[in-house]
Amino acid sequence: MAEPRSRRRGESKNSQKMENAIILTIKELVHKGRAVTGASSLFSSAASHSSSESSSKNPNSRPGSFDSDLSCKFLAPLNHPAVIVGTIALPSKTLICPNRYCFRFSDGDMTICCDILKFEIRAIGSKICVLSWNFLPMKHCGGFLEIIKWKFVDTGNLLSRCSGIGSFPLLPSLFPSQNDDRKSRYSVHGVLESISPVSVVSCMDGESRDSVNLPGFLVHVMACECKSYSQNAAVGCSHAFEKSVFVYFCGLVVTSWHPAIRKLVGRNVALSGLKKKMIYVRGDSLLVFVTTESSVLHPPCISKKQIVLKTVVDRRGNCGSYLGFVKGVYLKGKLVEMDEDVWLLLTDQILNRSHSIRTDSLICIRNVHFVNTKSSWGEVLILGACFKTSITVEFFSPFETSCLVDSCRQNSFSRFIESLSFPARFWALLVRSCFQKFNGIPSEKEILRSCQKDELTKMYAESQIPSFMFQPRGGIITEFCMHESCGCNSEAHDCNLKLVMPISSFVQHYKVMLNELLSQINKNSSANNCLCHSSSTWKRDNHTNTKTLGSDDIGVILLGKLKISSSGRLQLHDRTSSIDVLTPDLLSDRNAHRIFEVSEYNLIMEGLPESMLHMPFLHNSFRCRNVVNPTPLAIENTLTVRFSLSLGTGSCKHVYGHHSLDWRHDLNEFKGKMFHLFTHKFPMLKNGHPGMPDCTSVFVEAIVLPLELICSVTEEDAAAPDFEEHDTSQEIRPHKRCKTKNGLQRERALSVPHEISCQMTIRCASSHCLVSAATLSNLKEKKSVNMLNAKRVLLEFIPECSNYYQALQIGGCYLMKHGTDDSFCAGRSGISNNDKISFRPETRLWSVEFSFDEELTHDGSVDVYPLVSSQPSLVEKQHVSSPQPCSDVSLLLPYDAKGLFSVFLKNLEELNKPFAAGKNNNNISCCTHLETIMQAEPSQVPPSNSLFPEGNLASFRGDVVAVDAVTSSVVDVSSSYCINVLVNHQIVKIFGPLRRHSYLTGFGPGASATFYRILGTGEDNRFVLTSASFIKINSRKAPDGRQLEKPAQQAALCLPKVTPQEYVPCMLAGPACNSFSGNKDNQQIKSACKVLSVYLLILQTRSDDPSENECRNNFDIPLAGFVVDDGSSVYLCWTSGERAFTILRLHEAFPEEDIDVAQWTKRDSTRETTVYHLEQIVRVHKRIVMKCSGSQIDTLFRDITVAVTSDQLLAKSEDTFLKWLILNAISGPLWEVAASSMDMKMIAHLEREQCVEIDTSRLNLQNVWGNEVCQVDPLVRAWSLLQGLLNS
Amino acid sequence: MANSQMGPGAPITLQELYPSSPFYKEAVSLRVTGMLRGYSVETAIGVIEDGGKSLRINTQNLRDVSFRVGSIYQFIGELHIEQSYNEAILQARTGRNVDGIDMNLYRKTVELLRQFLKEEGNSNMVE
Repeated sequence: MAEPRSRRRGESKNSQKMENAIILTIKELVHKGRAVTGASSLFSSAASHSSSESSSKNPNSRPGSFDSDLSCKFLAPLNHPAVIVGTIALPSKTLICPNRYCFRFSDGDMTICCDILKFEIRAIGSKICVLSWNFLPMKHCGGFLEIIKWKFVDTGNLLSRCSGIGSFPLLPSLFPSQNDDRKSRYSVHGVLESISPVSVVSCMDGESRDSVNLPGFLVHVMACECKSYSQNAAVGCSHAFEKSVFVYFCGLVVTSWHPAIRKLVGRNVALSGLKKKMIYVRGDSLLVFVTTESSVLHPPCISKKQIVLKTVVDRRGNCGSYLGFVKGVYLKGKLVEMDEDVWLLLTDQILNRSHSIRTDSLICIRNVHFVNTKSSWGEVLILGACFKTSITVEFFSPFETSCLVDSCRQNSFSRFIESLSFPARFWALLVRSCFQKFNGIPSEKEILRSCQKDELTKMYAESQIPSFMFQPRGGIITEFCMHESCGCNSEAHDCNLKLVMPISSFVQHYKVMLNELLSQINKNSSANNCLCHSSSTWKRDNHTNTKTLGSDDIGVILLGKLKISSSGRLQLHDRTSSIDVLTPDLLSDRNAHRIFEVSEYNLIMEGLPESMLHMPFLHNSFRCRNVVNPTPLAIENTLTVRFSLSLGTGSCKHVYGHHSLDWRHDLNEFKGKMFHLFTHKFPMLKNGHPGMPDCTSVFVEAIVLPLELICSVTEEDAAAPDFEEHDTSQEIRPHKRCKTKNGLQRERALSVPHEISCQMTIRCASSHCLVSAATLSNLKEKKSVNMLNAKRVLLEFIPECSNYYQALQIGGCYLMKHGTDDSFCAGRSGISNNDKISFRPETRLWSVEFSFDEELTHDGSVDVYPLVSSQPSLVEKQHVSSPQPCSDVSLLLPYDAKGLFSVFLKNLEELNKPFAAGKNNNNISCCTHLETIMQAEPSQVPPSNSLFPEGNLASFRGDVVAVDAVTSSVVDVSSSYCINVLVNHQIVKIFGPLRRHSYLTGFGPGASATFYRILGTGEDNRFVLTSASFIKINSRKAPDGRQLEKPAQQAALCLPKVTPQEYVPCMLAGPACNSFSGNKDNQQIKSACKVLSVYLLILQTRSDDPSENECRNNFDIPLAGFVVDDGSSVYLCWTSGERAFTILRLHEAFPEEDIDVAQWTKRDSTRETTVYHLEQIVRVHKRIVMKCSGSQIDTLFRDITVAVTSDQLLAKSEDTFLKWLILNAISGPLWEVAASSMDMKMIAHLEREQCVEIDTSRLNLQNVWGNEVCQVDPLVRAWSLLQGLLNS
Repeated sequence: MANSQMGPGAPITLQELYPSSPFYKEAVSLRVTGMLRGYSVETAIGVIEDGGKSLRINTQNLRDVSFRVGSIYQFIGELHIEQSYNEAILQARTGRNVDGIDMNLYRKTVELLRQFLKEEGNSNMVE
């Protein structure tokens, strides 16, 4: 290799210094097993020009952005000069290295793999002294030596390097070659263009006529046509290297020259003693020179080459060479990140990957395909390595990064990858790395091992990659010799494949984008409106600031598992992160280990600042680096934007189905078992105070149908290999003829036959359906049973089963497995109304739907019969985009049974209504899905006793038009929001204390939602959300009116209700204030005041879901009382929530010097606010009530009592902190408070609501309710006062 | 002492302190505000400036005020006119740092206050 002269001078200088260097043996290095470098130890003096080549190049050559996230550490340098003496050898059988063809280094004792810079052919077999080196331990062959600087030990050998003297026989010949063989008289002299990997060719042995496997490799030389090669002419010859010539290096021994020849690519070589052979490639004849026993390699003349330290691209047409630093090696070396958006694909298994391709090594890739791919998610330059590609390491990495080891043998996955075009290969490898993210969960270890992931990737990729992206492979010789024409060149450059991304990277991408946008906005508006900020607390954050991005614009597919978080949100999660999901159809199956593909969705970003709404979104392209390496960058979380996905119908697909496993399992579940049918009626509230530990059960009101399903799956059915690869149609097998009892002919019969035969379709996870016969039988032994005998029961879900609870839908129908000892069966017919039945963790539930066949004998149209309007059902099968039913099990019943079920349905409808009158319900049969049921008749509100709001409950469905913030009270419930819903072309107003935190995923204008148990106020079209209310989001529309999903005929998953902890009613003005339009009736007084003391403070946790901790403060102040002074009088100001946060100055930076809070403070930008520290305390104690029990206002701390609900003692430091909190509030600025007066009734109401004794009489102060709080800018206030005085 | 009874410090601006002004009298109590231009530690005399006018302040009786040139201070004290130079100096009783004050607003407020006091005084007299 080229070496600047100056460098060589340095070397001779150093050779004296080397005398006192310790000679290390390889054994020592291997035994230590430590990655060390002997590079800096020798030449540490600053004078030395070539000091530690590998490390000196780094500071100026590595791009800055790379430094920050590089976690690697430098190789440990030895503290003394050390050299290694040994010989370089060609690969041989004695040392089996998985990378097959790499150099060996042996010091007599031990042999390890090595790579060498400035390689010379003469070094092979000579004793050399390695002056500067890196050693990396490797599992396979002890270690790997990177020779940076070396010299011959025998100085007599040091002849002029450019003499070209010496010729190297490829075979160690015992007899000097005389070139007497007439056949092997040809020689080739030219520039070595490319080299193929070693491949094995089966050929006939000339003598024994046996087939032998001969390894060999091809070399492409642009040769000079001059007949003879003279060694002297090599210097400065004027050859014209124009003729393309292939030389085949054949035989086991000759092949071992592969690493050496590889080092010569791009240089001048001469080979003599070759013979000619004609080979046929794809019907074309091709002249190939083949090495013989007497072949001789003439080393190249050393040309002066510059050492380049930056990326160099040399392209000719499609292929070219690329010099650059390795930024990351992924997927066992298949994927190598070079520069920003430049990726090297080393997918061909046969390619030789050098151990020394490590992170931050400088590599030169020759003859690599340049493929620019552009797609909706970004642009990437792919360097596709083919058989002509050769990679040499120009500088070794100074970091302790792991060596590339080819550990995996060729498998079906690698064969699959090899059959793809480069963009598709790249895509498939990204997918593979995403599947990598699905391990770590112990229970699925056995399912998802590495090869399984390969299989998964393969299966998934096969379904995604279009056929034109597959390319036939022609084998090494074809592709090497006929490179231009073999298809290697004709790539499809447009990549329409969507990027598959880990969720964390996906969310991170948008967070970064929003932050960029925010900083842009801030830059734009920093100059003007400097006073505006003070009024920001007036407006509460508008939750309706939402932006949606369609998946077509995003171009990203997400893979993940669906789960329901403890807070009741449906989430898609992978190992990296999770994201909230809204979906219209969902399997209620409990196997949480299935991976779903989400390709069609809308990304909803909620809670954007107002200013951002009008900004065009930046279209940053996605970084593939984030896909393979999803380490989230630490960005300051200035925005609290919620991300969620809104999925269309059927857009959530199973990625894989390991058919047999799942299918058998499902079958076994059903085989010969009996099931109860029950209908879930209404989820009752989680009782229990938010502060309480979550050990309470949840209850569900349900109706148990007096029917039992007996499944008659037989072994034969099970063995029937009916399922197809992809989504199957419903009709897999011909209908089984079901027996119908004669007694069932009468329509609307109130009597039930003892048995109804039906066809059961079980929807398995693997997207296919299993059909079997089943029998619905009557629970009662009596022949005729009135359907009204359905029993109302209370299902108790213990905390372990809350997952089931979350997935249940109002009005849904479910199957429950029959167990002999469960309480359902214990009595069998002994269940009576209002019994409480416990639901145990091992119990499984399947959602079920019913359909009725007109004639079971003919395959006519199937009339689907939903039980209630919100019941997921199969509408018209041929029109539904997804052919899958939405429930786990669907029962096809004879048409006759419809009458029976309509009675049953009617029954249900009535039960589902909270105040079922049971009258005039004649026409409920077959109600359409979008029909709205409005059942609340305006009725007279009885005189309120003010303890609970009263009125009729209603359930309806409509489109949310707007959500306005109001501050008023409706039927004694203070409302912070008014939801305008369009129901049947009428606007209905729903008031409620819905807060931003309790916002349902995706709720807002444009959502089509079903409201259950909304309290009617007695006024037209005015309703109130109560703690029993339940909101379900069916679909969402984009703000421009475009429907985001296909019209959701299927109902949505039940989303979490407004739970009591989110529901903090605080009574405001009395019942007189029934006007919702504003606060015109409410005499609100604005005054500037100062906090004198904190009278009462309640802090409590908001939610038990730890996943919410990251973005928002996780606690709430349901009630706080402050003694304030407005200069003229002192009064007691009550407030809650964000207003209390403001007065307590919780969002301000934590003043460290105020208090000794060493344990609270760790320097961290997110931890600098008081709210962070307070949250830590509240999280521990769940609910803290601080109360000033003294009668004096100014006796600070003397009479303050702190009560906590947790059983942990309040630590001294916590106590101090809480008291400091009061002090901090007192020393706060002037606040402008808009307050309205409170009467004793309201105080009493608050007391009841918060379960505290307020006892305001002690202070004898006026009580007011603070509606709005904002900090006073004294200057602004003074000017306005002055203005007012001057004008008056 | 010549003046056993001390009056309240009447707020004035430095522009109002010219030799013929009603405030320019020996031992009159004043409240003055201005930016500290200079301060001598040896003599404890500082110079405040506002609106192009300056006034010397004798701060030898002040204890807890730290002086920083460039900050705005407010002093209450008695005016002493040195006969030899016919130059006024305020013997400060008390003083404070009022950094951040809006001097425009302050001047207007002072005017308004005087107007108010005058009206108040008039009405008192009527009574």
